[in-house]
Amino acid sequence: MLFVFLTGAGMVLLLRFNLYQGSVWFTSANTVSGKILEWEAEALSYMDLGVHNRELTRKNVVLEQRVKALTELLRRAGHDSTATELRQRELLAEFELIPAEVVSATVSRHDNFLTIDKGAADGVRPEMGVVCGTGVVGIVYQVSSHYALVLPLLNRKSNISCRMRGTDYFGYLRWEGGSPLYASLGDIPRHARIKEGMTVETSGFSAVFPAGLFVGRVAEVANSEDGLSYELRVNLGTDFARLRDVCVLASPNRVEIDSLQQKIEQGI
Amino acid sequence: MARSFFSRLVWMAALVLLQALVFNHIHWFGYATPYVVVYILCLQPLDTSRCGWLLWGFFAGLASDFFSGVPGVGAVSMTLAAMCAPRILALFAPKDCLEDMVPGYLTLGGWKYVQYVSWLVLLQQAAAVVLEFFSFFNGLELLYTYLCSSALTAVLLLVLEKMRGGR
Repeated sequence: MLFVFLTGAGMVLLLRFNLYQGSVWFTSANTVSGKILEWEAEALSYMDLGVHNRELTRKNVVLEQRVKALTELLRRAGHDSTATELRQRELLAEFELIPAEVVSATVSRHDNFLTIDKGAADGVRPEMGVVCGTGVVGIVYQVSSHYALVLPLLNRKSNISCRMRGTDYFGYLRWEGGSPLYASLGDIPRHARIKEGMTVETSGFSAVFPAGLFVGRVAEVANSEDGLSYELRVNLGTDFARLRDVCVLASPNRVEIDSLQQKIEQGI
Repeated sequence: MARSFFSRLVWMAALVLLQALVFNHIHWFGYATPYVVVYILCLQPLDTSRCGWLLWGFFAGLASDFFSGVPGVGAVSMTLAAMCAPRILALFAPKDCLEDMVPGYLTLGGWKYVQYVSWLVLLQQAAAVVLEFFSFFNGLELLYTYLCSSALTAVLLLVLEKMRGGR
């Protein structure tokens, strides 16, 4: 009895005061619980297949209409659509997309994590970007052979460089808790002309995300606490509570960047 | 009895300080970090109660945790080692020994004492390394760390016992 009590007390200490052990334990980035959660997610996804199918069909119709409308607009405006397509293709060509499925996720904690069913064996490495069809999801934090733990935007440690589309003013997107639909974008200078409804996208200041990925829209413009910059409330494009299919962005230059960083660290 | 208790208490404080100030900073070949706090279990006499073993193990581990970067690892691994220690000691203790015999080179015999210490260290290090890595993803690194840390710890405990007088 005493043995169970003392071991239990020790385990509480271990999981409560160690970020690594705590996150692995609670977010199931280990093989056993990851596999069980994957089975559960697979079973649930079969049950929701009808709903997903209807939603995809609806999205497909909307997107087809939008493509038609935009192609028509481009044609009328006389733009060189071939050049636009080439630029877009070049932007995406830099990254290899690894499709993955979310097997476990939390949205109600202060520090949320999510687990995806792709790991080191599939080419996923820490610090790779994760996106979904509706925007940026987060950054890979830890990987095991077949699973990876993702630090989503809904985590207080998440800090992603973003900019306002069309203005190039950039700031850092943070989440302070509260609603999982909103995050705040700070450090936007006071002289920037910001309006509600403007698009927030990734700035491309790191090798994690390319520039121009949709993050969300400005819902409210407010002053920062020190009054020196704007603090924007951003309505996130990704609904983390319904997140299932995601893509990991694998940069082919990752190995080169990693070895360069390793050399710098060794040099220091 | 009380004298022996206070003597072990002093040993515990000394071992925890030694661990915190010296041995926590040793990472031999990048793998081996000795954990000399286990020696407190080697100082327990044969007639120590089950609760006594567990409490000594837990509190020694907990005290060392205050100075380590991974709280909980020492407490749990030492409790596990303390749980098994009386059974391991019973395997090596002579049939005709005194009830309050304290294990040492002379009381157990040199080779048997080496075996007793090695089993204790292997057990404690197995728990500690698994809890610290908390995953079998880097299996080879885990194995290297386990074997190197265990070997270094066992050697240090045998040296400590020799310095103590080997009684």
